[in-house]
Amino acid sequence: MNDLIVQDIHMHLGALHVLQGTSFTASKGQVVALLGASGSGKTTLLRTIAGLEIPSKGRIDISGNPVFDSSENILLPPEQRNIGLVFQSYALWPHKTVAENVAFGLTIRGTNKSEIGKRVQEMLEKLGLGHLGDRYPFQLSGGQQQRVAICRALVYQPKVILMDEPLSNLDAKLREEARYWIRKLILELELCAVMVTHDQDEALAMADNVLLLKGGSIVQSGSPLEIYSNPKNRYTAEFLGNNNTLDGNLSIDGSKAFVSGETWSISGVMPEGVANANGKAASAIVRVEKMTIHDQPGPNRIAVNLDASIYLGDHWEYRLSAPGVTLKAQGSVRREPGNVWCELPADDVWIFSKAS
Amino acid sequence: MARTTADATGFRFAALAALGILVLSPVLLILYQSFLTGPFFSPLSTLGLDAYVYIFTDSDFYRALGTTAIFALGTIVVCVPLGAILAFLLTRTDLVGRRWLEGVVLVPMFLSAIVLGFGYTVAVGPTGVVTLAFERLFGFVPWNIYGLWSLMFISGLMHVPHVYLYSSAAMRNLPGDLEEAARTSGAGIWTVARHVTWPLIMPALIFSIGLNVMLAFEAFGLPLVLGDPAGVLVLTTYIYKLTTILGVPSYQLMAVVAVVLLAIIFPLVFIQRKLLSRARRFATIGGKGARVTRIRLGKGGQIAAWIGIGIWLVISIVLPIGGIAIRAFVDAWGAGVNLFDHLTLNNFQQLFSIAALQRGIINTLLLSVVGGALAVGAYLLIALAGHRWSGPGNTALDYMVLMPRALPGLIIGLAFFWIFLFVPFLKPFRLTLLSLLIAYIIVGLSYGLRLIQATLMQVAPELEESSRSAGATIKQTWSRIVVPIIRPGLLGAWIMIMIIFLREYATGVYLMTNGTEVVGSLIVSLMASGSLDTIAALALISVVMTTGGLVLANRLGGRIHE
Repeated sequence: MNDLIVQDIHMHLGALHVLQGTSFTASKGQVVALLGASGSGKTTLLRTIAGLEIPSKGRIDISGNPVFDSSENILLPPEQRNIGLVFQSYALWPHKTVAENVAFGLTIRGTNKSEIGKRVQEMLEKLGLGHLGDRYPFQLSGGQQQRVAICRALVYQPKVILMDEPLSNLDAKLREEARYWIRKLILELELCAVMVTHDQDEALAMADNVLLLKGGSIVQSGSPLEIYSNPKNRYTAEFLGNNNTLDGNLSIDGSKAFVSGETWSISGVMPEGVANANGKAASAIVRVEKMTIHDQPGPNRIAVNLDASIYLGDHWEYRLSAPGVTLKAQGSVRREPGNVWCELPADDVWIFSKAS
Repeated sequence: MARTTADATGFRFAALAALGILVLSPVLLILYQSFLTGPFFSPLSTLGLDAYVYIFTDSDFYRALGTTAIFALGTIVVCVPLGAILAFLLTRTDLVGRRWLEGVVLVPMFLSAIVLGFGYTVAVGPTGVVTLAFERLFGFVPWNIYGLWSLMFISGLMHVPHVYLYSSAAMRNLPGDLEEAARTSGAGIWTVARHVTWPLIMPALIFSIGLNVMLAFEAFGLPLVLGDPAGVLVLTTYIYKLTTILGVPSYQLMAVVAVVLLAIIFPLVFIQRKLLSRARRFATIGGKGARVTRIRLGKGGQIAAWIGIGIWLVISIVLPIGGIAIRAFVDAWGAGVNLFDHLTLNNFQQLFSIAALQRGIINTLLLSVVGGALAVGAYLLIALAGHRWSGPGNTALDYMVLMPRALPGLIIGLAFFWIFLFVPFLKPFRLTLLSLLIAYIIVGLSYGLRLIQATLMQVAPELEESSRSAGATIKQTWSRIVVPIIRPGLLGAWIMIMIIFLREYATGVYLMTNGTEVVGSLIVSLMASGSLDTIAALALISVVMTTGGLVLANRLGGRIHE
């Protein structure tokens, strides 16, 4: 059963159509990541689920109950949606201790005192904060504050937990740790989680399902593997990963598609379908890590000049150029500047005609 | 961003309605009264324009109107340059003792004008202690404090803090990097001042000009004390005089003048509002709170600055307060009298033997301490009603809060006096402090609300949203999250309102009655009968109470701004 159903959500801010008919579902034990650049509507979408923004059209069901339905005039305020919400800023109440912060949702629900004490302590201990209950939020480190915020959102056992950029206020090391344990916790508690992020690594590492948003609509959704290695459109292909883009002219030869420049021609796949558009402008996109450098020509190889090798610690980055193209590639050894061939494996080259 | 569900709509509209009744009823009653031919309670009164005809053909009215305009202009001419210079010295130079001065320069703002006015008469009036001493030393007195000139001069000095407050904020917020950018691109210090500093500070100065015009039109205490004896009438004192001129209550005439005052001040309030939002826009341009590089004054500069500030402090604080302090402890006063022979505590004993005066002190304390707390409670409810509320309701609330800004305390008091006479079920309350409290709440409304709104704005929206999503309703969120967080701000607001209520004198002039006397208004009414001993003692008590409030505010770090 789907714990969260979001159906055709539209929202306007003045003349701006910020959400243009977004739909998705999520079920328990699953993390959905709303990924997108700033202004893509991802946070707005999350806030409509929480009830903090009111969409103009659509329907949202949480745990089988409609919390918003424009056609039936249903609109539940945030407090009646039984959700947990974790803010980017954590939003811990400065006048309450850690334990009081966490206890709030239970107090509001009229849970009796001893039960509250027990559950708050259990929750805090689960996240390694058992000894910090009497402290005030400002006495905690960023990482601890974040865990308190998660405790606070989970202690009353909501079915759905919403997280708005939960990791962006942590430093890089902590962030990688947090990715792991938050996901583990969600799976363990069998929660249905929706998180907003602009960081693709975070989305790929934490989510079961990634929704890529652009201009208020979903451009592509799928598992991290699918969305990374099988983009359906140019925006998805370019948004994720490190890419090389080669602009040239399209030519179709039977079932094969080619993009050609002044001195080069490479074949690839056309995820949007093979368009009959011989001679039209098109771009070939390939992930940097798929490129390999060779000393001789071969299939789908381009003759390039290696301009420089840059040392980046765990690998070398090569800067390559050919007439009208600049490329990047990676390798494990230093290479001297000069003429080389770089191979773009045909299966990993995505060709999009310019119009898209 | 469009915010969450329009919750607590019932409460919000109820608050709006209550505020509407409180704010609009006095205004409407004044309007109605102005179109009657007699007092509204008289069965003989009919609708008519007689009152307007009377006022608009009265040469005294035009004289008062003209005097008020000149008085406003004179006040500005004195206070704006001085306030701006003071702000510059304290924020942009290395003036010695500026930290200490920052607190002191605001003091004149918090003393009641009637007390200060009285202070001037006993210090530098014709038989004032300073006047007599000067005469004994030099054989002549080069000043006369009664008249329009001295009125403008003293009023100007008194309003320096209002100008200082806004221009210092603008100068402090002025990012140093903007000036440095101009300096490094080759501009000399004067070019920078003209092209960068001045344009950025000008909105604040224009704003304070507007504010002081408004304050001058509303001024009552100083013109009454310093103008009236010389026959100089402004609009407010003209209204006050109308009470007695005709022998019978000439409410319709007072109402007409009140309407005229409203018609002048109201547009100013709205212009002010526009200016303030513009000034804020200017103030937020600056990126970082870069350290301002302070201009070195040098030894000569320091001395010159201190002499100037010293003279101002002596004239606007030391003279009046000192005069009151001395006068309160002597029983006679005049040429050839040795003050030391007349030292006495009798003035205070007398104070405590007259029931009305005793009540006045108790009532004043009750009104400001308990009433102040109730007022803050009322302002909090109104502020919450408008908190994160978008739409026409909030705009209506905004304008309603501005309305009392255009009403001088004298007129608010008068209007509520009428209301308590006019509305049958309110009649019994006229004789209780409740009538004064309600009028005071309206007098302090826009100031008090601004204080509370400012603290409310500091509560990050997420703190409220996380409470909502954790299951709390909007009222639970307000009572458990928002109000506890702003508690220190509320405490500060309480103290500031306390000070405002302590110094208030004009509101009670018409409203107070046997049993509801307050110190400020008692002084106004005693002015006529001329018992200097009593006035001096009362004035000193008023000063002491206000000082107590200021010390308390300082202790608690209360934010002082008008």
